[in-house]
Amino acid sequence: MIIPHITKRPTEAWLSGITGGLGLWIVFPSTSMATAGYKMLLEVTSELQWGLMFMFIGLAHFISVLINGMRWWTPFTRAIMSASTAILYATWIYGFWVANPASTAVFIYICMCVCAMRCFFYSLRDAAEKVEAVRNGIYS
Amino acid sequence: MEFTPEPISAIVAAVAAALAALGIPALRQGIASAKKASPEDHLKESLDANTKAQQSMLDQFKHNNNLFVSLGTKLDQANTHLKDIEHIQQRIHTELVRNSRK
Repeated sequence: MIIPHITKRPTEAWLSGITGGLGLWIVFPSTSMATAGYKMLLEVTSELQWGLMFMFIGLAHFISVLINGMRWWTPFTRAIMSASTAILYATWIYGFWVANPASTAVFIYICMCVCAMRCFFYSLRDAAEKVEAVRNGIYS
Repeated sequence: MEFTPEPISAIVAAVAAALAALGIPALRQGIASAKKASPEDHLKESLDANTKAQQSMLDQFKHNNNLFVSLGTKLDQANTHLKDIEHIQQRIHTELVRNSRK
């Protein structure tokens, strides 16, 4: 029942899974943000808080993709979580950029940020379609 | 390069602006897509889906019917063979009775 919902939005399922997984990895009781690149990011907030942010956003996004279409609010939460993911990754791009602009992490997180923006575009389009369809009386 | 937390708010604002720029065409596309699909289109889509489902069921029924016909033919063949065997058994029995009388 739920699998078709994921297969309809594979990029979002992938992005949210990666984001949630990254959060879980950071929250895990060990020092994962120990290198120089992370030093700058740790000045903003602690490792645990970064991990919790990634985990919460990723999990909420993944749940929204899982039940996409089964509840009226799913496109809206997808859009909000995609935007939050984009902002979160953009912050990390800045952190790594300050440490070393040539870092591979900068490229990776730019890709993730672009992916989140793409997901934001499609989720917002779904939300607008849903609102308009309700207004037109297609769905109750 | 020195790290200062101040640019983070600027980054957030820049990303939010980029998202807003993306959001406008997304909203337009969504509204246009919903307008394209009128209640009649929605009904037609459902009818098409039902027709496809019915066709699939009909195909399955035909397939099952063919299997039944094939099974019936095989049963007829088996029945004929059984009758042949009965006939042979009858002949053997007759032969045995005749031999026992000799």
